[in-house]
Amino acid sequence: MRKLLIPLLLLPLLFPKVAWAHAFGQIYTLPLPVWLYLYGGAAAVAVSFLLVAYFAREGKQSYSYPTLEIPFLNTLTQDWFIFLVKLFSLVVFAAAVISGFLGTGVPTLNLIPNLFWILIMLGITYLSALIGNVWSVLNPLRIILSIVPGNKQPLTYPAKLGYLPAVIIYFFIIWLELLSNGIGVNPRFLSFFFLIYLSLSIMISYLFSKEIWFKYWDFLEVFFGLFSKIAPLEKKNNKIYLRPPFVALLKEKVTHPTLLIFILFMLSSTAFDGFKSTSTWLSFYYSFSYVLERLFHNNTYLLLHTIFWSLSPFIFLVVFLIGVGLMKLIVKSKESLLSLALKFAPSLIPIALAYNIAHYYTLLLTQGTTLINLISDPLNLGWNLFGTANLTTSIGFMNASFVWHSQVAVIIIGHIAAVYQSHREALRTFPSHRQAVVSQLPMLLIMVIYTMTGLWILSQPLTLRG
Amino acid sequence: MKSLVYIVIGIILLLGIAQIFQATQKPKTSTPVATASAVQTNIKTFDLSVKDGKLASGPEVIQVHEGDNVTINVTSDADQELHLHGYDKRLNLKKGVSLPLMFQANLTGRFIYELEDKKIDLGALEVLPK
Repeated sequence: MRKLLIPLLLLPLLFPKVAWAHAFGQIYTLPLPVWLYLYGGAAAVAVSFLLVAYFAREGKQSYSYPTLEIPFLNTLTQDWFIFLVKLFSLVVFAAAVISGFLGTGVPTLNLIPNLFWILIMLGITYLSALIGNVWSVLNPLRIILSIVPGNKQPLTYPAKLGYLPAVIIYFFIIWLELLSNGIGVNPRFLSFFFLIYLSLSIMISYLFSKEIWFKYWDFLEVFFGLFSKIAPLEKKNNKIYLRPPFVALLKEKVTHPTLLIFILFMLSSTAFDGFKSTSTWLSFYYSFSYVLERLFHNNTYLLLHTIFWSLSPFIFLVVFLIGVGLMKLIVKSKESLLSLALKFAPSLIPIALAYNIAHYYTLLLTQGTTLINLISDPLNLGWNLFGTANLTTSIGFMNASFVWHSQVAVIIIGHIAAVYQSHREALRTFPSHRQAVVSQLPMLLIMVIYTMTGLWILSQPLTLRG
Repeated sequence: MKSLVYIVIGIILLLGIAQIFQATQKPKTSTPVATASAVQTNIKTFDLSVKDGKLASGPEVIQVHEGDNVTINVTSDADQELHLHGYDKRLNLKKGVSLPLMFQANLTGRFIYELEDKKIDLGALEVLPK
């Protein structure tokens, strides 16, 4: 597997760099003003202590949650509806792949970069958090693989490998997004990559089983599967129920350290994306690059960025393990550090979502308006199916003040959810109520660190790109 | 019932802290009313000069406030197009001639201006909300 990694990383070099790259995914938000950033930090701390007080006084927690059936949504679970949705998904993906090979080479105007980076990586993320695991229905691989015959004698999947394949694929995808200098948004490359990914899925499904592919290899299934635990909707026996948001995180068991790395990477990749556009990073970069440029010349930029970016989840990991370690000390728990870390990993998911929304939601609006044009002309052939092909909208641009306040609000809400979930997990795991609550103080601290880091990155002055 | 009390306390706490921090904000600059026909928005002018595909002189960050009438005078050593993102305004620069880009800053945010052909970022326009 590792042998595949190097050629895979070098593969993008085969594709011509697209000059329009930096125009795709351009974010028009202003840095947070200092007073708002400090407010965010103070608010996070204050609310955290309030939560501690709440849990200190509360008695035993009930881990079942109320659900409310929503009858009129049951249409969504009907076989015919699901069939239509899958058909639609397949058509859209086929159009995207064709468009990638034959349509315009300009990323901002082609269907496939908009579909993947905007509609899927942002849109489906938020949709999953809002209504649940929609990707298990929409995933074109699931649809295509259902037609491919299974293997009667699959190999046993090595348990130690865990989610490592999904982690590696996720790393590669984010590297494409941030450090490939435009190759990641090149339509030809994306179509090609989809076909490679599809081939890989068929191969792995045949070798091990389809279940193994979708659980440990298909990074979007893992990614959306985690975020969908936040959703206030759930499906049981073909009925849709309303439930409180975030509660299903407690049902989520993180069984393998590689999934913890995946979750931390959800946090760190967003943080790094924000951070690398700041002037703080630029000055930091220059202090290192001076030395490295003598050795690596033109490759210094890529090398330095790749190094820090791949280290970033481990920086978040170290902070997380310190928190869990202190928690273990306070409770004098006999459980291993790793076991505890895995138990508390789900409480990081709300923070990962908050980071994602705060950094990217405006992009969904500004770049996403291109999708309105693409509905009418998906293959760039000059069609105008719904009359929206030439519509120019400026609805994507929101008032900066509103954006600031919403970013801070989202991060604080994510923080509250994380602290809340972590408390409930502690009360479930540790025998003594008092010790459990006190144990949350270090966890509270590390979550404040994550929250303030996210806010700090948003408040830093930005640099120009190239 | 008990949870409700905590939620209410939480909201009061968040709003209260917000008030404290908002008070520390610098007072917003207001347009001095100079004449009887008071013009509410400011007129801001900036001069940029481009040489060898780079910003030779002029601010790399142009900061204005929402509603300001902005004029950016650009001189270039070559014929090329200047593109302001977001506002999606283009200026066809001619060698040696100073040309103005004029618009009202109605969109708030951070908008990069670049040399369109070479895709070189020259600077950023920051429009601060009122």
